[in-house]
Amino acid sequence: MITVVSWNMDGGNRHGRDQTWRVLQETGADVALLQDAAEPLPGIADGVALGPTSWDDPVRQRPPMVVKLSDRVEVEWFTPVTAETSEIGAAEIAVSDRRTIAAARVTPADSAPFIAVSMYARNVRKHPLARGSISVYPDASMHRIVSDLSAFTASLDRSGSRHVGHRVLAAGDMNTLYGLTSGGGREGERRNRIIWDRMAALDLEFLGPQYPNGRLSAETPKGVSVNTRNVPTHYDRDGAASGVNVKTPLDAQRQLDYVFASRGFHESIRARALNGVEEWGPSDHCRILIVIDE
Amino acid sequence: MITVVNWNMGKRHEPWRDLLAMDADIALLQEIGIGQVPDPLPDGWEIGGNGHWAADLSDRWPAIVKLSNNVDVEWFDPVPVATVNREWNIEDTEVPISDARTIAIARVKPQGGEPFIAVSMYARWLDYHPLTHGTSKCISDNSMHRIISDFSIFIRHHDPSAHRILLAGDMNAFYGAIYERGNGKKGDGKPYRETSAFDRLGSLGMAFLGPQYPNGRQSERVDDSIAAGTKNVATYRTTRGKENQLDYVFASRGFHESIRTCALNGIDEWGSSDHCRILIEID
Repeated sequence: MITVVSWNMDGGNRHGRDQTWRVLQETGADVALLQDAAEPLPGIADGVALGPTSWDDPVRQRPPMVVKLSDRVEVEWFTPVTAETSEIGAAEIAVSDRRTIAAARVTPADSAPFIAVSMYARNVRKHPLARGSISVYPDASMHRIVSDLSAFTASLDRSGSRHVGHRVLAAGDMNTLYGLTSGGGREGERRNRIIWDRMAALDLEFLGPQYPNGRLSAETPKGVSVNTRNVPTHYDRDGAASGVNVKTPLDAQRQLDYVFASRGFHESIRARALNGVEEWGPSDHCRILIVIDE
Repeated sequence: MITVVNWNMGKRHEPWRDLLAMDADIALLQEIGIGQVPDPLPDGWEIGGNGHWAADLSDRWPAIVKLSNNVDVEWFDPVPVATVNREWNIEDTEVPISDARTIAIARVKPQGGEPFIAVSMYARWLDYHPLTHGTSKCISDNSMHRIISDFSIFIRHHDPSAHRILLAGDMNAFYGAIYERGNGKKGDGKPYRETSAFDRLGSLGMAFLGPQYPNGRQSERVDDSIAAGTKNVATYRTTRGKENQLDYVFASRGFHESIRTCALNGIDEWGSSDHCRILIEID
């Protein structure tokens, strides 16, 4: 059994980078799929293998990462190369925007390797010449991520006749609500749903986390059904997104962080949001704990 | 009325002569071969990026070409989406894109008419990752979805009629595909992968404009992966004579009502590429 934690660290803004990285290590996980990660201060992340991260790239500040936290796994990182690259090496991944995805091949000590993907769907702003009220939207970024990771979802053998499946674990901040029912009308709902439909078409099963694998919000979040099983994974410290001045994890309403795994492989995986008030942690996103028990 | 021609030129030189013989105002082109662009261009013609592309990245490129003085064209400069800063500061003349080999965008202003955004798309076949099992060169949907992500930066309103976008090109996909999952046929046999781009374009308020029969000739032999009763028209044919529709047109709902499309796919009118031309009239 190995444990993976997915976490948008919010750049360690509120409590500082050192505490955020300490909390990560105290999670006791073997692998971390991080988003909005800040560079750890010297000495804080000793014993942690960070992979091919360039902290001094001003455009790529706070990148997604796959981090090795224990010796119970081997991790081989894929170096991101532009999507315009024609010939991809075995140690590379072609990506649309390297600020949105990181991937690695993880080999547990006692089970088969799998591809781990950390996803961060950045909000994209409108073009200066475009008219309209929508200022930001995440689905363009999320679909680019799906395009990137789909390179790992071949499921037939080379003859094209035998199903062999794939082993992909993808988790992270999708910056959107599962089961959106308002905000953009029917086309907005459809636009949101297509992200999940597309993941399903790649044989990537949705693993939530959904209630009871996490705490429900006290009030039904805006934009989703009253019957939603979404568990809040994000709270809005300044109220900018929700219009409500939400200051604590207790008031968290929106689930933005999700987990997917290849069909078949998913049966050995459980995901849970560490979204209790006491366990939330120092980021505006809670951690998602992913247990792989094969 | 202005006339747009959409055409995958198959990296050939001859289609440029065919293009000169047409009476079109704008061309949305795909698979322009490196070194095949006429030099100099015919009088009055202009091409985005001046026809200079990085040969080391690809031997084929999309482009938008101004063919007449009935329109003004302002080309957008593609900038890698990964280089746009966190504040998303881009110039009016720039568009962040995922893969420059797949898309060209321009703002077209007909004389006396409203401007619109024109997009030439080319969904490339891409390899699976070397570490994965699977057939190679069998996915184009990931490229197509990157294209949609790129041009959707112009869609800023829930009301599609607020936009004026024309999108055309080679999607390398079958409209109406019905493969069952894992049936061992083409690619991974997933119909939704084949059709998801059409679904997503619909959700963005882009109306499907075919062309569909009777606005073009249908293939005598319909691919068995496409639903019976299809209205797909032949826009691509192999050297063995097999024909399918890979080329399509979309426009913002509302704007689409003034647009007619037709596949110039009759035997005598096909032209000198392995894809036929799609004629798009905006009235």
